[in-house]
Amino acid sequence: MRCQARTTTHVTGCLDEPPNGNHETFLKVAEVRNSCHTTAMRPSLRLLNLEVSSLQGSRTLYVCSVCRQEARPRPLVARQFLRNASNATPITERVRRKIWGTDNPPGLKDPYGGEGVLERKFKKDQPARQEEEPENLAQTSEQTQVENEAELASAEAYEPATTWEGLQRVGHLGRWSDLPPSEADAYESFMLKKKVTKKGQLSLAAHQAAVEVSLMHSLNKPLSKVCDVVEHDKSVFKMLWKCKIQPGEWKQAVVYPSKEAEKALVYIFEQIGGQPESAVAEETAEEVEEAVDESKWEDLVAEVNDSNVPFFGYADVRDKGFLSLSLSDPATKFAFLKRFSQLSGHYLPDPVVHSVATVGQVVEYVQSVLNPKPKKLADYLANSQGLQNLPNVKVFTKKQKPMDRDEELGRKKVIEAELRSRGLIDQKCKRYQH
Amino acid sequence: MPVQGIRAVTTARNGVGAFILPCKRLDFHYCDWAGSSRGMVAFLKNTLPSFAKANPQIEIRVSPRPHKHPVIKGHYINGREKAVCVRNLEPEQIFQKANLLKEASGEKLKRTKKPVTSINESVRGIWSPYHGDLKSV
Amino acid sequence: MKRLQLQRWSSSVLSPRARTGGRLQQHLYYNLRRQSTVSPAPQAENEPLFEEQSLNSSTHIPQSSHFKYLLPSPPVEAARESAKLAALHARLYLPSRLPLETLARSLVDASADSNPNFNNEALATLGNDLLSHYTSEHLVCTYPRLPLTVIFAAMYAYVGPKSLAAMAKEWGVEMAAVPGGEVDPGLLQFKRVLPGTDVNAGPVTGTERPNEHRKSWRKSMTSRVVYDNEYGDPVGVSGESATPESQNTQGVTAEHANATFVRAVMGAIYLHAGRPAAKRFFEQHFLSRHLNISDLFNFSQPARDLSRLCARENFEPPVAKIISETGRKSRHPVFVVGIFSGQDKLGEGAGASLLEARSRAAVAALKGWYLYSPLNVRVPSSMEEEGAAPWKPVHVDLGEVIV
Repeated sequence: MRCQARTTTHVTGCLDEPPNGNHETFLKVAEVRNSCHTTAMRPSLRLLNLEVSSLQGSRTLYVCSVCRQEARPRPLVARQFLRNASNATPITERVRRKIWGTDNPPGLKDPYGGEGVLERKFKKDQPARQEEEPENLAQTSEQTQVENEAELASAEAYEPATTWEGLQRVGHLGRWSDLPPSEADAYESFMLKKKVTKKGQLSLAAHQAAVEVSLMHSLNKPLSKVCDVVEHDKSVFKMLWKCKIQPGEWKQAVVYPSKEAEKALVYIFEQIGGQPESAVAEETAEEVEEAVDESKWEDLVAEVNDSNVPFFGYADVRDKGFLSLSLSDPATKFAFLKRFSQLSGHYLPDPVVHSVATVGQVVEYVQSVLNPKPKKLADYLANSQGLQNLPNVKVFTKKQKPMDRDEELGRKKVIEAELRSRGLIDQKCKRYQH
Repeated sequence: MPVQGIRAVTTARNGVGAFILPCKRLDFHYCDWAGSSRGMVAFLKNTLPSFAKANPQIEIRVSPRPHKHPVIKGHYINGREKAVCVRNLEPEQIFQKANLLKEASGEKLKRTKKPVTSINESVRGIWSPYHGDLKSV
Repeated sequence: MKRLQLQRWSSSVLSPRARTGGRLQQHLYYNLRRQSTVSPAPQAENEPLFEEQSLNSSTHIPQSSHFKYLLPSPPVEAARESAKLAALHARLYLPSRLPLETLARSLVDASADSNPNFNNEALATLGNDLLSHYTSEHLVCTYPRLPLTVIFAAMYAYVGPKSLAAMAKEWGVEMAAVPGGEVDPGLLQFKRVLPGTDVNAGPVTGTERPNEHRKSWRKSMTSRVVYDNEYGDPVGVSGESATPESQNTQGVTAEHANATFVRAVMGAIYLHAGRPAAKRFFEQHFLSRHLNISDLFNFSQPARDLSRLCARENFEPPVAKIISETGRKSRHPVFVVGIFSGQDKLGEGAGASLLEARSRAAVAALKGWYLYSPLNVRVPSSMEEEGAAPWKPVHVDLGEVIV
């Protein structure tokens, strides 16, 4: 029985209600849904709903169940069909709103970039074009004008490209190593390339750092500026080396070898923070030559002009007073550690920086880094003097296997010879050169 | 032939002349990683030198045995071995175990039923019915 | 008794001598081996000798790890590294004057290393002589009337190869499987005889006996004292140069190697620490061992021997009398028989038959005679000490009964 109602009502019935995100409508729909679920059913499903129609009704106009449902007065149901159809808010903005849960999520107005480079260019072009006319005479603006004109020209003749032929290539395109090094590529590290490993040289570094920092203290200069001077001149270093440290306050810690030395050092360190050290060194070189007492130490130290020798060839400090200097003041600690790490090349991790209290502890820490305590018991026992002196103790580093027992008893060579003769071991594997 | 000699072998009486300690070797095995070896590691670091010095006649070997419990093995003169697992023991307890192995003879543990063990015959003699006067009633 | 000349002995035993013959490489290595126990005087003489003989002008020893495998026995320096050796030294309470290197040398048998400067042959010879000397004088002075056969048996028991091998095992000396330069110096190194070889193959030939070739002739006991060794076993003197060589190629038994080691230790102690230390070592380790000498007797006709003995000693002829008996007609009679010489009971024995009882009684009587021991035993070697009391002669017996 064909349905005699107009078929178009099906379709129009669906589209009559515009999509509405109203909360009230949702409730209404829910009510309607609860009351009569056939209205909420899709049209296709309604065909499954077999209604028993009476035989008497067949003579009258036949309306199928679908059309009958359509005809029934129905409330307006708000539907959210193409919710995201409009372009009012971009998808990125909608995602952000959903993530944050509010309509005004915090952050950049458009954190995802939003417009492309070209779009931005267009926007720039438009205000730039407007500014061009009043600023014609400015030199800088001429350049921009030229650029802008070029851009303008290209913008007017702009056609989006489909391939990359003929387009300008930007950047190194993967072959960065072919380009020559630019200024930005040059890197002068703060720390030394190599770590100082000898105990004497470490002490030298610590002593030098201590003297310099205490000098800065006494001159009331900003402490970290000491690091500006990477390497002193030899004569200056010698004076620093001769200085003694007396434990106590940082300000009065340095005991100078002589008055001239004191004056020279004070003068040198006054300069730090202003001009570079080399100019100062030339000026004070004459004073230094008079002041420095030619002692036997010079004869002992070889005159090495090679700048690669660390600490000018000095092997160890003269006095060890620097070990007991305390690092309780954070500024002093920072300055000392900075200078020390610059001179010695050792990195000091944060927990160590926090926990260290005296200079001696710093040196101790660096020593422990250089000579780590053995982790394996076998290495520890091998180093321990007590066990090595005992003649009846034997410590093995590796697990003793049955083959080791065989070797001890002398069987191994017989076994290997036999295996070799049977061809089970490579003949070339020479253990014993018989 | 008036009299012949029967060949025999002398039996040792350890201690009558010189005393040879029956424990000739002690093997100490430990593991660097396992937690059950901690006491053993501490013992080897701290107590072993003094123990070895006090017993110069014992050959002491220390070798790692990775991923196994710590063990002390004693080798004895009669060719037998005794092994004691010292997992999760404190260094003092391990020292006690080492002493236990040192003082052992290597023989199997047996219960002595008699109070005296001797190779000499009894001093007062075994009673014989054929000697001595008959008591008359 | 004349003291052994220590100086003369030690220089001949301990000084290094250049090895003659051998392959090229071995020649090089052997000549560069030095013994640490060398006395200073002979070394100066031997230095130019070494220079001549070494084929390579440079005296540099290649210290590669393969160096050890070429040597027949561990190098001298390895003795300080071995924990086993140090433990053995302490276990035997060896004097500190005896160095570990000598102890290591005493563990190397001649079959392992044929170079006499590095094996224990010489030390073992010295030790063997010392041991048999001390044991024999102890036995003879403690039991003056002991028959010779029993003395031989007792000597074998005290210092025979079986006993010495047992002692080496009790000292905790382990044996190396195969000798070589890489083995632990604390192991006993010797070339093992192949399993299945008959060790006691054939009678010993080449003795000094004049009538050795006459197989059916009887060998007397006294001739054994002259021609045979301290246990009464025949020893091939003229063929002695052959047997060590053959031993070095064929190998030796473990028992033999252990016995040689013990003798070598004795010799080493005598050389390094002197006579008193050697005597002390002997008393502590050898004499302290238990031996029941009365078990070593094996009589064939004790009654006859006893009657001959009584005749010789001018006792009244021995008469066996029943002391008590029971169960004569039963299945297990017990007869207690005593042998009387006049009124003195010489010996008593119990047996299941009269004959057995009499034999046992005679055995007891003879043992009582032979196992006589004076109260204060003094051995002749005690005179070698300084400040020894004047020598009182030991009781010397007529000897055993000749039947």
